[in-house]
Amino acid sequence: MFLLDWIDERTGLITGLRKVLGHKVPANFCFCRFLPVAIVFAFLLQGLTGLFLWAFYAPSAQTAWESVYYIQYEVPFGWLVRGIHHYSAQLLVAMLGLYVLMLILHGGYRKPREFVYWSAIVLFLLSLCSCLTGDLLMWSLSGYFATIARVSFLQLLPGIGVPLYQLAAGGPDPAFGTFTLTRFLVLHVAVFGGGFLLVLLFWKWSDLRSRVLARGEQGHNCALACANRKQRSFWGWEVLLCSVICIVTLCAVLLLVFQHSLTHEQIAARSATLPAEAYLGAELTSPADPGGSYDAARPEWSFRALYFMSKLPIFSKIGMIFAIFVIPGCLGAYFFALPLLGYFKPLHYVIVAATAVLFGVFCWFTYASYWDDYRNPEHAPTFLASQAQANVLKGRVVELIKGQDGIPGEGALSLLKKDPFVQGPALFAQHCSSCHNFEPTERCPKQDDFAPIITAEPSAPNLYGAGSAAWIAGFHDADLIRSNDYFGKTTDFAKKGSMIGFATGRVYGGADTDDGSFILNPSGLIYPLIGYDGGVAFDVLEASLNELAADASDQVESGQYVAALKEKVAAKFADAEFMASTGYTLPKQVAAATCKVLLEVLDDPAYQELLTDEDNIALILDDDVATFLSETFLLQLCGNEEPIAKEDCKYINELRAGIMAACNEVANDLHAESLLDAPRALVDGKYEGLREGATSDMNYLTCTECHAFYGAEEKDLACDLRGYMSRQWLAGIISDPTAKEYYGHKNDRMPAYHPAEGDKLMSEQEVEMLTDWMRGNWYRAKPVENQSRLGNQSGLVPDLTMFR
Amino acid sequence: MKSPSHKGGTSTPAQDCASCSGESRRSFCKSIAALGIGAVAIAPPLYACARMAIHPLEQTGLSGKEYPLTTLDNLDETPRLYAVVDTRRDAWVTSPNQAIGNVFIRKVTLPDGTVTAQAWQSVCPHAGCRIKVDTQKNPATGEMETLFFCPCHGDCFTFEGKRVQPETAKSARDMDSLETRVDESGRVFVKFQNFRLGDAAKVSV
Repeated sequence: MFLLDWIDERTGLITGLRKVLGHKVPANFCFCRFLPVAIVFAFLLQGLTGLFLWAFYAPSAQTAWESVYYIQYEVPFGWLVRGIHHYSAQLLVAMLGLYVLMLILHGGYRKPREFVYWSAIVLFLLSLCSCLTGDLLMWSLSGYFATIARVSFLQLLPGIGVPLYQLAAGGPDPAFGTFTLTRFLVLHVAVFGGGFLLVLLFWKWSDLRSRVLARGEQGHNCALACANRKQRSFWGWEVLLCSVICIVTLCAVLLLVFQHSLTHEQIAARSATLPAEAYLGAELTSPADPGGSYDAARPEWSFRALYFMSKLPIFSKIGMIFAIFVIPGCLGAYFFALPLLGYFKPLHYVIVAATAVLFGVFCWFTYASYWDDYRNPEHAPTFLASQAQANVLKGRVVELIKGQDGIPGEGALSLLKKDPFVQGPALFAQHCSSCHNFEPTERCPKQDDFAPIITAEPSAPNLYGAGSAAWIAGFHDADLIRSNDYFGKTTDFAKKGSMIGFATGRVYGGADTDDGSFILNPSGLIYPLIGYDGGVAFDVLEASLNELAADASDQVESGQYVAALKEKVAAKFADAEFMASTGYTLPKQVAAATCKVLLEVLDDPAYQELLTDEDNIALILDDDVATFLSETFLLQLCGNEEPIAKEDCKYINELRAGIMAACNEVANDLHAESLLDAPRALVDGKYEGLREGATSDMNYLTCTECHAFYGAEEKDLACDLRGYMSRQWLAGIISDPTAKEYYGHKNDRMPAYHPAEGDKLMSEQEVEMLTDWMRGNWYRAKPVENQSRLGNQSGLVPDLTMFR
Repeated sequence: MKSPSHKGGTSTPAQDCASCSGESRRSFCKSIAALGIGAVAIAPPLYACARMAIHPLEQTGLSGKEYPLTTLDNLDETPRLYAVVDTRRDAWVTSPNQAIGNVFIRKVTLPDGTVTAQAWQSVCPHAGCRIKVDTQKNPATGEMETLFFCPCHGDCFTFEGKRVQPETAKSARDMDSLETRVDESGRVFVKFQNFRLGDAAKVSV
């Protein structure tokens, strides 16, 4: 006690405190007296949490988001401190707004409490300013774009607008960066936060003073009315009630902090790869990306009404300055002027009514703004889509940081910028999707990892599922090859045509019927018989062409060449001796069908035109007839619908089964290639990991006639299948499709994105990211339990299940 | 205790309490309850903030990891300075290949004839300056000699890491030796640690 007396004698502090604690208050419960307690408590929470956040915060473009990330995800209870700071600020704004309204309702803005009212308004404005500046400090996608919009509105002000904008942003455009953050931090903490504290003290003092003055006087306002009732000492029940109010305030804040973790459903909906902190406290969207965009950037709830108003069509006509500055300025002036208007007592009711109308409009606009974003069938899908997209980024960056155990020095944004999962779709949309479709098909159904990128009029292959075994097996399906999904609308006939020919030939296009017979698709039949290795039709045609070439009769000269050829062909098919010499023992029906189709082919006017030109004939004989005949003319000839008898199908079916088996093997082999980083190396005379028999299957299917493959004769008529769709291969074809191992000179339209020489449309890193994305080769986050934590702590997040 | 400035108008709590001691007791209980509830209200945020504040205490520092720094063949009788390179974690930034300290290593021949490596922290145990290998006047003999020399306060150490003049040296202990290991292929591993400064005892931190 002596020490207290000693201090009091010199400072008067103890007496002053006793006086304050002992001051009389009305002995009733009135909300308007306890709201200030909650306000002071909320501010206390602000100051306390803000101080500790400040100790971890690093204001610069490369560190701001990262330090907030560290607070949210790595520092023990950082998420809670941040959550309390964020939500108690929201509560503070709401309570101050409510307090001002109550003052107006109770006439508390009038003599002798004008300064109480005025300081409450200033507090309200300061809390709003703190929210506005605090929003940017996270340097997150949402805060960044929302703040850019707000600060840019400063430019609307005539004369001082642009300099004011530069002052706020810290420089001329493109201004937003480290200096914006350092300035906003000072504004947030010292100017608005410190200002709030000073005004808060003044407000409390003038409030206390006005109560003392009011004692014994008559008046309208609540404080006065209450003051005339039964009184009690502040130090007692009143303090107890104040403490309860504080607890209630804290509970409200905590409820907001845990709002996404309250129900079983919310917990169950969490992503397994994200730590619980991602769902606790204030949201932290992905790092600000000056080169990106965030279409769902919206102000806090307190500015929603203003935001909605600024979007009203009238302001685009009369000028945004009215919505952003003139009207809010007038409203501010109105509220500031109320104490003066209040001198005329009858005006009180008008003021209350006007304020109620204004408040109603505020509520309505706020509601309308939310309705527009979440419920309006016209706008909601766009808003929700960009919000969902931002959510993906928000989670992804955390996964990447956790995955690589820290953030590189250049900042967390660089992780997103180097991530194939994030950049791949954007790169594909920019560079590829004008020609290539990326759409799930029956063969390659939708995968969760790959969202479709639809092209309205694709002219190049559909790359959805490219490299998968099912996709590769599609190369054996003539109908698919004909469709735009595989070769697109390539103008190189040989490329598409040969593959169609091979495909139809190999699988013997046709259908089994119920009674076991087989309806042959002639185009499917003829091809293998024509094929390279002495196929019947090839042999027949070659022999016929050679005979005719040797024959210099008039018939040939007079343009009857085709007719003569047809005669020869028919004769050859009828010639049993010749047929036997080919080595094929064709069932009669099959031979007849082959002959029929070949004759029909020769009837085709386009062929006739070709066949009347001697140079062409020489070329046909010189080059491969197969490629020539396989072109679309052949494919149009699919007239034979007579079923072939079951016993006659044996030959076909055996061939078909063998070929189908080889096709499947080859599809799997090529899929295995697609999983590699680079083509296989030759180790001790063997290609590492290559299936035995892979090359012979390729040979059997005649793939190696055009394509290069391990151990086969090097061919460069078509793309190299060594390491097909592997990382190196895919990056190579994107970089330069005209290289000999890809399309070579047959490349008709695909640009070289990163050629060794010449202009580069994409950087090497971009090509790699696109490649990795297409191959699904990106970092996959592990479930949270298996992750290590930066700081080696555990159990920092309370297990909320215990409350349920 | 009554303030002299406090006259007229309102009565002080002291006067109230004097007139009604029962009310005063009840009021006291209420006040204690109020303080209790108030403490409950502020405790969660305060606890969270305190946990945040002591975060630096909860992190682990150098774990005494062994680093391969050189080979025995490369070493001399004269100590050489080697940088210890590791991934440095500064707050949220993880930077690979950063120097986290420096050690002196020299070759020594033990009495039994085996050749091995000796290593020391390059930080002076006195006040944390970086020790150098330099030609200085040996304070014991007064002759110019190549020694471990701390440029900040002039302490000299022999190549055995011992203070040349323990009685007058500023450093309370000899240089901090570090554990070394030489593997079969002759690579020299050093267990890198930091030690408490200014203390006569060598305590790792």
